[in-house]
Amino acid sequence: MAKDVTIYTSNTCAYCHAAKEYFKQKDVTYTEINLDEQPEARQQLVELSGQMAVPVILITQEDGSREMTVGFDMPKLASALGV
Amino acid sequence: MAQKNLIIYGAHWCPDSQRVKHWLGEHDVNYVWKNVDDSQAIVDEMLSKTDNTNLIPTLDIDGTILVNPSDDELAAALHEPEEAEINYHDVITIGAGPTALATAIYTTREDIDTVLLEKGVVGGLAATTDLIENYPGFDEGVEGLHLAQNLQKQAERFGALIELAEVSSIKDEGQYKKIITSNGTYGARAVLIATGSDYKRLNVPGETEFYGRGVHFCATCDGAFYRDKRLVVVGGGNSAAQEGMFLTKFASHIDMLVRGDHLKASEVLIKKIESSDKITVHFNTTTDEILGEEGKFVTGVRATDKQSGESRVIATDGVFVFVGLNPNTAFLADSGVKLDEHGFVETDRTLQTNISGIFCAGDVRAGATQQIASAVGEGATAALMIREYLEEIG
Ligand SMILES: Cc1cc2nc3c(=O)[nH]c(=O)nc-3n(C[C@H](O)[C@H](O)[C@H](O)COP(=O)(O)OP(=O)(O)OC[C@H]3O[C@@H](n4cnc5c(N)ncnc54)[C@H](O)[C@@H]3O)c2cc1C
Repeated sequence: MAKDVTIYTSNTCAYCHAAKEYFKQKDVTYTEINLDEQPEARQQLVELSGQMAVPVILITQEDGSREMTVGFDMPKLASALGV
Repeated sequence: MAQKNLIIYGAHWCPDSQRVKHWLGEHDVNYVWKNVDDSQAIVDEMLSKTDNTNLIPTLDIDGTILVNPSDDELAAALHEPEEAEINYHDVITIGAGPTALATAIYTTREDIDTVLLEKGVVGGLAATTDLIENYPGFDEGVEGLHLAQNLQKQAERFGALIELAEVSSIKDEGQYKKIITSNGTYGARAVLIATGSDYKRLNVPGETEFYGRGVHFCATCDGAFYRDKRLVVVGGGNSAAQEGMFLTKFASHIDMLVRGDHLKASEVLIKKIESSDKITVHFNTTTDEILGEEGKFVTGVRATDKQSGESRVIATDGVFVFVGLNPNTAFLADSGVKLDEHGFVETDRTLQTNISGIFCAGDVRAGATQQIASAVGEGATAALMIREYLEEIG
């Protein structure tokens, strides 16, 4: 199981809802950073990930390695989460 | 398991007949179904095998007769100690867009056990559309995500199960269909293909390299990153027009690049585009390349005026691509389901494909009108046709 899962979302983004729904079905706890509620996080996301898109999902493993997915890519998430 | 010749004599209304069929479906066993209500000849045939024992279900397994066997007896008779079980249901829909959700609302209300398999967003493309103005019943329009969530809640209220899985192939096993997914194997008595379509790519240099860093396919997802920035929208159809208008909420200016010489959108949308002071439409213009510094963000688009042949760079911070849709039918490659020359699924008037028990509705169906209202209409029709089919096969 991954150590930490963080997802950047916005209210209108359906793929963000889909990703969160997937975490729920797989019992994955996650931290959500909603860019509509925290507009200042927008710049942070761009700097951190080099992305201007949501959802961006950061998965940190026990060994500290980190993987990033842009969009809702179920197979990639499944393998990163080991579910 | 080596397949044996298996005949079941039974009836629709008989719970044990249904139980036995369910078990066989779950264990991937083919059989011939003989409904004793259909004719006296079938009853006589059964009685000749059972020494006149008049009980159903009666099974003839390679000449061995079993009368109302328990599940364990069935397993023993078929020499199948433990095989990977498959998730068996009455109806499985592939996709959980508006079409499949409408189908599920109808089937589950009739207590037909229905599972929807979805690889992306529940609510499909409709969920990613910002505002739907032409869906009947909402005088002020309705947000796509809101409509999608309501459809989902309505279907789930009647017992529909939505499972997140990508379907990679389906196979006709006669009495039931086998569905291979990223989440294991499913079996169903009837299948609905409702996989809709996905955005076409431009296939120009820079498109893949800058995906998420200036190249986008979803305005409701990523539009807000472009507050007070310049954007290019590629495409001239309804989606491009609708999404282009949505993006004027954020962008300071939008260049719309249209390959043809007019917009192929509804009159209302065309008027909105024409009267927007934020949008400049460039007709007869091809989009040839998306430019930017390697590893950084998009800075421009190279475009060519087809009439003058002149090529130029339009400076921009982002590009939203809406150049049409491709039907999601790649997973049907080896299924035997007939597609038309564009890859859409062909059906008859009852929305059944060339394979009995496999139905298709919504955007992915050849001849569909690609509107949410018609998608849910087709979904409802498919549900009624599926119900009839299930009654027929008993
Ligand atoms: C930008 C845009 C704006 C639009 N605006 C309007 C509008 O204003 N009014 C209107 O009426 N219509 C509009 N439409 C059209 C409308 O979205 C579609 O007609 C409708 O969504 C079709 O529903 P569907 O269920 O057939 O397909 P979809 O909504 O495409 O749903 C299909 C689902 O199947 C899933 N799927 C695909 N392949 C697989 C697989 N192998 N395994 C599992 N799941 C799979 C997909 O992830 C998807 O969720 C718009 C479309 C777009 C793109």
